[in-house]
Amino acid sequence: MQFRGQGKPSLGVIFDSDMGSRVETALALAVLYGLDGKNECRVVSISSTRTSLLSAAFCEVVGRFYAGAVSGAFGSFARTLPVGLAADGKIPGDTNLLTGPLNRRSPDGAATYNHGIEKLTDTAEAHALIRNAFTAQHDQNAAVVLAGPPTNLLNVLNLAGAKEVIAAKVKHLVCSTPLAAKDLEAAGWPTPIISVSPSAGTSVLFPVSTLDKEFAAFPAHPVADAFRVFGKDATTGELAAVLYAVRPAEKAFALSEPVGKIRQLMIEPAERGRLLQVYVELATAKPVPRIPRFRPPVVEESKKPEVPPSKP
Amino acid sequence: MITKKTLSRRTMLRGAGTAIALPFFDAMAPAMNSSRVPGGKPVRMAFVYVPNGIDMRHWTPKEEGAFVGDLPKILKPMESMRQDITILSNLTQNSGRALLDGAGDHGRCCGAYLTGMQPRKTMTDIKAGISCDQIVANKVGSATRFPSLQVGLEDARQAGDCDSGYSCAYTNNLSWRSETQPLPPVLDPRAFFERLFGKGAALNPEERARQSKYRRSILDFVTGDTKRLQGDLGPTDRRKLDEYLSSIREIEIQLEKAEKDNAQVNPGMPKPYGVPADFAEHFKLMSDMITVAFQADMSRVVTFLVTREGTSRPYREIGIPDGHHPLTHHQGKQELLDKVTRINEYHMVQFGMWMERLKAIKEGDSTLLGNSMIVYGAGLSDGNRHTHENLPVMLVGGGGSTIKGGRRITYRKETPISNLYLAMMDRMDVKVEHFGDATGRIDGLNLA
Repeated sequence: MQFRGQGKPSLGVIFDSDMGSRVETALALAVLYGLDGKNECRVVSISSTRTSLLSAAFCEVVGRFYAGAVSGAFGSFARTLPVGLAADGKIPGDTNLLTGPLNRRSPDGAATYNHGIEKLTDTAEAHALIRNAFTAQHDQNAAVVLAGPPTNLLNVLNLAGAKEVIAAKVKHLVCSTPLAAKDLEAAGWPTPIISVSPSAGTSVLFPVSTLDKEFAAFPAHPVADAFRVFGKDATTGELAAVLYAVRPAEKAFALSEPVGKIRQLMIEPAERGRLLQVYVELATAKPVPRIPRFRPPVVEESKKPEVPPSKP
Repeated sequence: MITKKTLSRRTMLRGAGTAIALPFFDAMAPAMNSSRVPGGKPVRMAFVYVPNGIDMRHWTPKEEGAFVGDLPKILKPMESMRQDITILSNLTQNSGRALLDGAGDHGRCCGAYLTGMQPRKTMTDIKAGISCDQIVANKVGSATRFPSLQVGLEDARQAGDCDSGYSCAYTNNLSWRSETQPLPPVLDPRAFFERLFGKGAALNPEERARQSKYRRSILDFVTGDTKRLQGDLGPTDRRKLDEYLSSIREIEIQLEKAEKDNAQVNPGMPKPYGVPADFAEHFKLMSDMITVAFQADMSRVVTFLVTREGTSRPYREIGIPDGHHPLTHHQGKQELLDKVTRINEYHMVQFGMWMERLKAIKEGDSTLLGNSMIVYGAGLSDGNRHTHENLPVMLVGGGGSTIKGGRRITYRKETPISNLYLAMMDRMDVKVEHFGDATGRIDGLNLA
């Protein structure tokens, strides 16, 4: 619940991907939650175009990992957002990047990561979720990150009145691939579109060595587990998409002249080293617990800790 | 060539100041050419709204699909009609959410409930959207005496602040003729009765009291027409007519009793003339008249605001002196939760008895309930946290043999409740491309 007089909240980010295809998508989501933890943005919608319950389950596991930092589109109850899933997506199947973390067990056989997605009705209609998230944002205070095919966003565009809402609410759309950017431009996406150049992803590689360093501080980290399955340095185009969406003034980024609505995002060669440090710092940031602003859970009288009598 | 003299669907019993519409008789069957459903009976649509959310722990059946075992506590009064009800889970009303407008979930959820539009936060220049019942009424209303009927039991104030800056027009109405024109519910049973059966202008309380002193039954005024009609009917239709007229007389008797009772009750507040002091009696009177209106095809579209959204009405009838709204902010306290559940059950008992009456009325080879679609629900699910997702939605009736009941259907999260309304409009033969925040039509209701 948002109340007047509390000022404009940080940027709301809608993250749509085909989670499970590439490890960098998981790393990008970790970067996004890292930025959320710093109050630079709010994760207001997560969705997947991969028609796989595990894809949605992994997104939810990552959300729960950062549970305190899940700020939500519609309220601030610190609840896990429903994950949107394309039921008619064209990318079927589960991958090792998903099954690896999700099948991880503790010594007693229990799942390391819990989630509530067992069937399709545990997920949200992706286009409804995304459209509803837009409606809850201040004008020009939302950004969309697309790390995969544009199926869900094209479905959103087909909803009555959606283009007007997007034009009002969204500052920019950042796509990790030029093809998706072109598809969305052709479909009439109404805001500026940023397309990450292929070289931006390959020029900075996320080192697998972080598993033994920064990620090692966590007893269990779902993104690290996916990264472990991948087992080598990862490209970072999708991380660039997330970072640009939230920090467009980041000096490591440069934009091309627009062609139509689309501008290409490139990396300044001299900034690659520093940019990598930023990626690593954000992707391996600790979850930041948040206290719900509205009606915190009530502790039953019998379960309340005893308050020692105050000293005279 | 076979010829048969048929009775017009528009036949009425007329008398001085009175016109009583008639239920569907077998003798009318060949004349029902304008009906749009198999079998020729019109489909009726109603929305019954209860405020402050519902205790979902005792609402949602555990299993998806066909009902297994006992229904949850709140749905128990529907047990005898379990094959006629469908529980729809996960439907959402996004337009009821804050969406940057701050506090006021009660005002928003009711204003958005049938409009699918976020109401403007104001107490003066109100704005929501045309409600789905009115879209249907605009299309099919010309076939009936009343395009639609709006009924309520509590508060019809249209001005003032009823929730954090939201006009009472949002909390006290369900139907919106246009985005700026709500249709207030009729609360007074006598006024409703006269609207349905009387022809003259509404009388003020003094005139009505004077008239009632000399009043005979409304049926007395149409004796001549009744006798003539009975001669044209077969034995089955004659029995049906007798039952129908008896039900009208019963309403009259209830009204007279309520008015007599009222003379002995000091409510301590201004009260519309003729409103019974007893909630259950009030509910029964109004629902009986809706039944007659449906039965006689006087209207096919009804909205019923059981009590206003955000109401703090106490339920002393069942030993609950606390206000409904404060109780719903129970903060997890079991004692308060139990009272909320009891209020939810009490509402359902009244509703269940009404549905039983609809089911008892034969209509061709079906029943009045079988030819109806009645949505029972609320604009909030959890009244404590003011949540607008996974709303309590129960669809009752067969929709003219198009809806398979006896089960719980779970939709995907964030599925707009407007998608249900589009599916219902289809069944009223009103084809609308888009409504509110709909993303499509819900599926899975069909018989097959």
